[in-house]
Amino acid sequence: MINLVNIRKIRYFIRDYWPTLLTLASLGIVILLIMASYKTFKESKNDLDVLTEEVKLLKNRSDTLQFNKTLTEDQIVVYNKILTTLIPETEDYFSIIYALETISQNTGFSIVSYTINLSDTSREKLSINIEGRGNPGDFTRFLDAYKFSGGRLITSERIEFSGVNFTNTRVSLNFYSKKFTFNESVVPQLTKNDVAKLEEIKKKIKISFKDEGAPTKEEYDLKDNPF
Amino acid sequence: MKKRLNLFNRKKRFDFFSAYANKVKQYGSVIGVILFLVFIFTIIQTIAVRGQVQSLTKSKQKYLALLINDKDIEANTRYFKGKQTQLLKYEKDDANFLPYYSVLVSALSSSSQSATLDSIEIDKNRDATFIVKFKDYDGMVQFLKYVESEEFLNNFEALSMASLNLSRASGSTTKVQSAVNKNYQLQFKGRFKEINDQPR
Repeated sequence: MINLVNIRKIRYFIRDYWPTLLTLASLGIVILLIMASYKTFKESKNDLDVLTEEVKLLKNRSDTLQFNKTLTEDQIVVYNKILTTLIPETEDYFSIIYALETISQNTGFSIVSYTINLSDTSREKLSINIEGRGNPGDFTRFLDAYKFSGGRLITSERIEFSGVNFTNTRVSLNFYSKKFTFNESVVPQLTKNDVAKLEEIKKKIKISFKDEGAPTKEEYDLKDNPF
Repeated sequence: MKKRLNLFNRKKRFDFFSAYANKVKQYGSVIGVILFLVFIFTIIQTIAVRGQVQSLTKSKQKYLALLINDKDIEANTRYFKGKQTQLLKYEKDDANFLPYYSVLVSALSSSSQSATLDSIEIDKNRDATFIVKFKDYDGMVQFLKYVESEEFLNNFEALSMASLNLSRASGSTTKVQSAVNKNYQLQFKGRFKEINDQPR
């Protein structure tokens, strides 16, 4: 009986207020539609923001590479070889001896002995005390050339020079080696100064690079089938 | 007065609701239209954003293709910069002797004809100690005047005279000889101003 009364009430309610109910229902539907479309809009906007950032980074990366390409005029491979020669990945004692010989020949300052200075040597740095003979002019030429002309980066932390009482001279020289590790997330942009510096160094060094692309002649016959 | 019953008149029920029903109808349609316009606006915006996303996706593919083509250059650039950073770091260990030596020698030559650079020591921090010798007293005085000039001091961050030494050559017996063989030495200590020279 109670249920019957309730149903009748609802029927009366609907019959009396259907335009109002229809308005409310329409509003509800439109609000739901707005919420759904706004959600889609928000998702698309998020996608757009992420994509914009990605494209911006990629564009920067690409532009930087194009700029570097133009700046180095495809010389970057040569520059890298020079840098690898100056600071090898692992220490190469032969190149140290060769560098000292080269500097000696180029400057006339004759290096007569060298000893490793263990107390100042570290994993990246090899310190060598050298003793040389020559006149003040030779030593000045040595001072002008030692840094790059041997093909290795050489530094000297302290230099004494007496042009008046010049006899045998002892100098402490440092040689460096270090592995290169990728640690930057962005592509570095090269500057004209970077290139100019390497060009200057290139002029100081006489290094011949083997053409890696040239095919090497096999010295023995190769067989596909080992049996 | 007679009371009449209107049989067509329906009694409104749900009084609590009837108070708002008219307002809901009245404002509801206006709000509905506004909300619909908002809905249309969001749809248009979504379509526009989707269009931009598509356009950016194409750009992304284009740049990725370019980067794949230039991956060797990228690797070379990273290697170059890494090694160059090492080079610049290690170069700081160098005393960079010759440019500072040249600066001092040219300064001496323009100060006094009798001034001679006896010895010089420079370290990687540009700290320098040098001894200048003179054959006569006048030459020394002339040099001392020059040392105090701005032209000379411009080469140094700091400079002080560490010692003044008057020595006589051995074997000089007479007063005349000793006057001739006198040597004046000035020792200076200081720090050179940094020279941003090109790589040597």
